[in-house]
Amino acid sequence: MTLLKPAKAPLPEVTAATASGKAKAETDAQLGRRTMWGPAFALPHGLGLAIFTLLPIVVSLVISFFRWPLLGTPSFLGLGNYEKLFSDPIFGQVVGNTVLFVVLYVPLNLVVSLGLAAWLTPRIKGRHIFRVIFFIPSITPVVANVVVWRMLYQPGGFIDGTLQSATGISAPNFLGDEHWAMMAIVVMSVWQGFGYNMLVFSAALDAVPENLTEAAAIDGANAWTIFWRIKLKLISPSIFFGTMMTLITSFQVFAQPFILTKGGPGSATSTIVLYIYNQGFQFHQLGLASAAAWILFVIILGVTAVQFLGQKKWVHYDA
Amino acid sequence: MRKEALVAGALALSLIGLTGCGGSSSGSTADGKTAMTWAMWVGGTEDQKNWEKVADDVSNTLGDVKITLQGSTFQDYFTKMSTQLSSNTAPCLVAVQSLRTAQLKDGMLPLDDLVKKNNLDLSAFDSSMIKGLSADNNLYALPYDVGPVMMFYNKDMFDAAGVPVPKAGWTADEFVAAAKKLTANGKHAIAPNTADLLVESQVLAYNGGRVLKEDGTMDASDPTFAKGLQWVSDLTSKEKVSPELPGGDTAFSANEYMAGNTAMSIDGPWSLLDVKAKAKFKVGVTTLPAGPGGGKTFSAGSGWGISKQCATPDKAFAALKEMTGDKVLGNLAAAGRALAARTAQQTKWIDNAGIPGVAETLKSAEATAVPMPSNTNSDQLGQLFNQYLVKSINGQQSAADVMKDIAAQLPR
Repeated sequence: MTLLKPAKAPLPEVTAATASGKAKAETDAQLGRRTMWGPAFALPHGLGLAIFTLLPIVVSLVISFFRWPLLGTPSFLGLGNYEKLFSDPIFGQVVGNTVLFVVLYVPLNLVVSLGLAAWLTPRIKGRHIFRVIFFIPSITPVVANVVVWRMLYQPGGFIDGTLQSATGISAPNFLGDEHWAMMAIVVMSVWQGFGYNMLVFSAALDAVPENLTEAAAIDGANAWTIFWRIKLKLISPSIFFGTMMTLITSFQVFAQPFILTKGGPGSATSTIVLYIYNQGFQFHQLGLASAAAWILFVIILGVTAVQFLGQKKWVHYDA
Repeated sequence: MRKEALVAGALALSLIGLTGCGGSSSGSTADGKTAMTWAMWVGGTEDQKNWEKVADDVSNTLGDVKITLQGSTFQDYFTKMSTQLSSNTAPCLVAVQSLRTAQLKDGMLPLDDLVKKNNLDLSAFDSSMIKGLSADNNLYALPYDVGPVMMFYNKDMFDAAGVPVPKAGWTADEFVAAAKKLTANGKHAIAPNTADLLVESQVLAYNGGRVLKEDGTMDASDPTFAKGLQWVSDLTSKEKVSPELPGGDTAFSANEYMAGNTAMSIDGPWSLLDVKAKAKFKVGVTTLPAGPGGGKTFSAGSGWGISKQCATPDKAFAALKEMTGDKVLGNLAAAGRALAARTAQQTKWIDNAGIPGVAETLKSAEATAVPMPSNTNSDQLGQLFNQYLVKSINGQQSAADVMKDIAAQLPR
């Protein structure tokens, strides 16, 4: 507060002293002093942003036009890396896998998180405990979660063992069969990731004014109509936020396939970020990895832009 | 003036924050010694202590050098080291595995001149390791351990199944016959492997097929290798003496063996004593089963070299000489950590092992062992093996088709 005072005080003087040239010069100096404070305080953060975020972004774009081995001399390739990626059937499969993951994961995540948030109304006894329990997977390290899920999925593991003792039938080899592996990763990811959206939706539902739902109930609307026609529309900004964030992070899926399957069997669960990691840090082709990263960036940018354009039709900010 | 001072102060603070990004490969300690970092993979607390003792012993012997260990897990080591070498933040002393020499060599110092200058006698080392740690006719590291890939077995399971324990030089047919008897009651004879060195050794022993040729070139479309891999895969899908792979997991085979779920596991002497200490059964060793046209095994090992960024290569070489000297390697052998690359020290490891038949097995395996060559694409091949072998082993695709897919993804 003490810092704000001298900055605020000269304001009346500025208007009062406009007639005097000398006084105006002084106020300009004061104004100048004031305008310097902002940049001065922003400088440390600005430098950090420039050096650790903007510079790497620019450098990665530059690297994407080179054959850039981790060790050795880079050579200029022009669009060579991009051409290679677009003509590589494996990269095509990798993009397809990522899209498949997004298409399966995002709706499932939203349905589960919204469903649980709707269930956790203030009338539910111990709702806070449930909220904490449902949120735990989101704050547990993904590596630990994956290790547990691997034990569930493997032949002779929990799922297979339970199914065998109950029905005598073996469960599929979830992670060792290319037809099941992606589904297994999606299910594990939904379990891991729904807690965050659930918390956001739950808070938004709590903020829906009671007088609106009461008025609708008096008018004869049942619980389903109230949820569908009133609550869902009022929390649409939160759903939009949840959808956006989930979409962006799901395009960047890495840890689950990296630890559960290494991208296999074959390339059945290889995703774009896993591909980038392998190309960059396993096979030391930083140029190709950077080009793939830029392709991912463009995909995410495109999908986000479409979302923003589409939101006008279903997101209501005027509650 | 105050505002300028403030802006300058903010700038200075920002720059101070950034200085942590730099790195240096050597420097001096407070008492004037040359400080040197040594990058090494570490398998656990015991391992860490072993290597720290080596660092301290060598620092004490040399007197003017202080070596500090920079440990990381084996899985992360090569990614970390490649990144450090490329970003000029690598330590002076760098560990390298023989089959990955070619990948790191661009960031490492050829040691040939230093060997000559210091009159180091290389003939005291296992010759296959000197070859294994060389690339383009330059030596990049001095070896500390060596070992042919061999077969570990669970003697208790063999006894319980009434199967005589295998003798060095056993054949693939004898192996399959024994494996069938050992597979019962949810237990299997052996779990499949996707680790490059181990599966390539298994195929080499079976029919001599190899992806990495003697001259270090790589040919993933080699038809003999594909046939050998099909035999390995059939152990799961046809003979049913191996369980299915639950996804790409290079540790699966060893873990199943340690858990007592399988009777055999393909591994190297570097893990034998650790296995013996942790296993709840009697451990035995023998050679890999030999098929028609096979009978050989790969040997691999590791060594320590000097990064190109090291400011004090002479002092680093003095440290290397000591680290791979009779004293240190003798101690490591006696502690069971490493089958010494210095042939004179190997008996200490064998005596310490206390596993019947280990001397004969080693002798027999070493006689047929060929060094596993290194190639710049070895990591990529290893990664692709881990991803794709699941398909042939679990019977989803033929070994020939899997190798075709792998070959298509390797740089030509």
